[in-house]
Amino acid sequence: MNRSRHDFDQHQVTSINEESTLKTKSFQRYFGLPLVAAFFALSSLSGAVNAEAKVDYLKPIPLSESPDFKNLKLKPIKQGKIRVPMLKWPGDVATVAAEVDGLFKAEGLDIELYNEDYLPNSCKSMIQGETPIGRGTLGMALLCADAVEKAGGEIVLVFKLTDSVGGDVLVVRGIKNLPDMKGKTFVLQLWGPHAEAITTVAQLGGVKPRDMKLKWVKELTIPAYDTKSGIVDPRSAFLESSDVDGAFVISPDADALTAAEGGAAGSKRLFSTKDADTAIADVYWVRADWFKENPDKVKGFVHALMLGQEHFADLMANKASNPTKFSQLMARSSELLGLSTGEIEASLGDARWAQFVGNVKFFTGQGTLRNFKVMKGEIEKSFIELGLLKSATNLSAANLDYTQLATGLTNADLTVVPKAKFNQEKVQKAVEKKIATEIEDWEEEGSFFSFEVYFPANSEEFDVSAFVEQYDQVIEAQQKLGGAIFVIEGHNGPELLKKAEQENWPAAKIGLIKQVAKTRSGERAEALRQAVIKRFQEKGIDVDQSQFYAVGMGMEHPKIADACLGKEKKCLEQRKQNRRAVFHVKSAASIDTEVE
Amino acid sequence: MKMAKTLALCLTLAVLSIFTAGCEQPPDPATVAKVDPLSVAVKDESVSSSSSSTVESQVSFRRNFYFVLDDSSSMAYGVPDGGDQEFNSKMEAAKWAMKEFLKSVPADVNLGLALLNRGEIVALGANNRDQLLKAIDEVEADGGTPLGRGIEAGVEKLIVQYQRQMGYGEFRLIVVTDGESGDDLNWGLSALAKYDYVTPMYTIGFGVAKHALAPHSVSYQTANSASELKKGLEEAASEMPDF
Repeated sequence: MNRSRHDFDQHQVTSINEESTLKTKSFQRYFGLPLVAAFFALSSLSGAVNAEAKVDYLKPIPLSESPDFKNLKLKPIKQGKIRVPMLKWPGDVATVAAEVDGLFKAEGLDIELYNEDYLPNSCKSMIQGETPIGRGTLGMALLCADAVEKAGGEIVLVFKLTDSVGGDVLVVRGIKNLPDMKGKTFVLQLWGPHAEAITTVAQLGGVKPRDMKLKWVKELTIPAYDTKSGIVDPRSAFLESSDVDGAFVISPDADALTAAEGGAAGSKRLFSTKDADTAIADVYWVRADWFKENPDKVKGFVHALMLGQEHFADLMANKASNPTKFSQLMARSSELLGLSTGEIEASLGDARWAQFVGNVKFFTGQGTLRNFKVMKGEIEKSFIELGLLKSATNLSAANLDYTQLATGLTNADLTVVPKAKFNQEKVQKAVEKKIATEIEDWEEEGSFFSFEVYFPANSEEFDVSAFVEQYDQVIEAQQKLGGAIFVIEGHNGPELLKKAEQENWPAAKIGLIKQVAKTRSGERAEALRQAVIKRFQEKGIDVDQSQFYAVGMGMEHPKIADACLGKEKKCLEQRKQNRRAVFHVKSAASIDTEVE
Repeated sequence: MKMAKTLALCLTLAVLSIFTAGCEQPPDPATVAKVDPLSVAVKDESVSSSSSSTVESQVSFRRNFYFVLDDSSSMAYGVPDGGDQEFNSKMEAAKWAMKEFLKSVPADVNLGLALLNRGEIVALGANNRDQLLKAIDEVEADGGTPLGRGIEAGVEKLIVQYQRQMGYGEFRLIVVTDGESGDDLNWGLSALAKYDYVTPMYTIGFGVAKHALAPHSVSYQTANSASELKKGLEEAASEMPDF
């Protein structure tokens, strides 16, 4: 649990002049700030207008090259209780549920749960044999794998706990969409959970890790200790430094930065893990040597976690009828994580538990592109570009027998189609209303990415096979942005309406033209929507159709408003560009959506 | 006969108006405030509340034909100019024409039918051909010609469907009449204008060369025989020129 000061000395990190007894608070992930932190937050914010405030930026280096890891050699795992680290993350409450319900004991495991948010500490504990188990995000697992490898060992990924579905946000200023991230400067925590998220999502806009200027700070949020006027967190750095275009922060900090009063002028949320709901996977890993000697313990551990997640899901669904048990779980979680029950309860919506089905899909790739193999490859490549890794790691998956692990579980049906995330009727209405009444905002807010398909005159049919590459881009985007809204706008050329208006046709005929145009444009949008959904099915990838919306824009938003009416090639091309469907991927936050 | 019925209706309305705050006047179609048909609450007896929020909806591109058939007493008279000797009355001719026409309507078109004097007898919907054919057979000509209110009611029915389809599709109001309106036509014309003609009207005048509805209709057809009436219906249901 002790972390020595010289962790960061080499990288000019720190304003820490004494060992902080509150250090675990400083690395809390996602939860709201305790009072003492709030006090220092205010101090830090006043520092934002203090000319002497200075941001302590760190050099991005692999965890394995930090001073604490130099000359570290793998030690045997100590006998006795199995110490299992947890993060201050709502996902870990289900692990507490497994303990409370005696599921670890039922598997013959003598488990001791404890909180350790700081990756260097937990990873070092593994190497030193204090615990065989590690906890973090997949990116953090890769950093630890590299460090363990340098110490002469290996680690194996055994369990996916959750996806982050809302607690992590990229706040920006002067950036409209993902392609705009190119060349911009972002600040985020070193060795924290956000490096994998920013690189994963930026690539959807064609922005590679090296295309961004990433600045690294020590903390995830404003720390609870006195930083002595130094700035060590992304939120304060964003407020202080006008040359920083964005900060990857936890949601309370995003609220503060985008607040009308006291926030950063012109700031907005570019995306969050509510949109990018597969960008941050929280996982457990174990030392490979321990796994080899104790395969049944690992299976028992994973089985208990799966059962614990089911028990927790049932308890959440029946909270009202079982308030005592829920209170007991919150109390135990509070005791273990060092947070109030209110803080824990308020954050439960930020996590989506993988359970058995999510683990099978993640580790085998069934029905998803967001699986271990793909994500490991992507994150490693990004981390190498960023200097966080020197090369690919030897992190492997445990290859557990999931048929065996399904024993005793109630939610083990792999054929279940994805549950609709959105209320389709309400979102459709919200999208249509937004476009009809706030078209400027709609365009200003931008899209994660978009592409256009053109239609022949008098038709909603198009060459479906000509856009396979674009469909695959959509699939990749949907897999990464499982909480975003995919809107397909259909458009008509305005030529007939113009003619009708110029010739003073009766209002009834003009009304009819507009209505037919709206319908035809809607049919064009729907044709493209269906083509994309069919592509998902062809590739065997699960798709939640409630993410996709076709909207008929009619003739009101032509791409070329003054398209000429002749039969010349130029005129034909101009009119063709108006007969289009445009595929947009929008942040759900930009639309008044209702999650099911 | 028709005049007598119309007079009786007017007298009845006049008597009723004594017991009300006064005779309600329709808005002027030329100045009626336009409203977004997706946001307005419409009268819909088929759902439990008048609030549009209770109308369950999903995107659909279906076509909808809502017929408003004049069942006034004059429809019991013979076909003008002796056009169709085989039919004893305009109503008989109209029934034949509508049934023939329905044979050519694609199965995926929603249909509904209202009578001027009896209101809706077949609700707008899918898969209701048999019900519609039976209802047509049972229509009798007896009453006035309240076209204004009949059109208004038809528009409201189509607007409910418009909301159900989330604003997509076609919503045609097809009016078959043999005379001018016995009430204030502005009730109907204002309803059309209020929703910016998303429910365009097609009118077939049975034995009427010129009709007050003609300038407000996408098309106006004069029919002097059952076959001409059938042709008029077919034209009213024809596809729009694509663009």
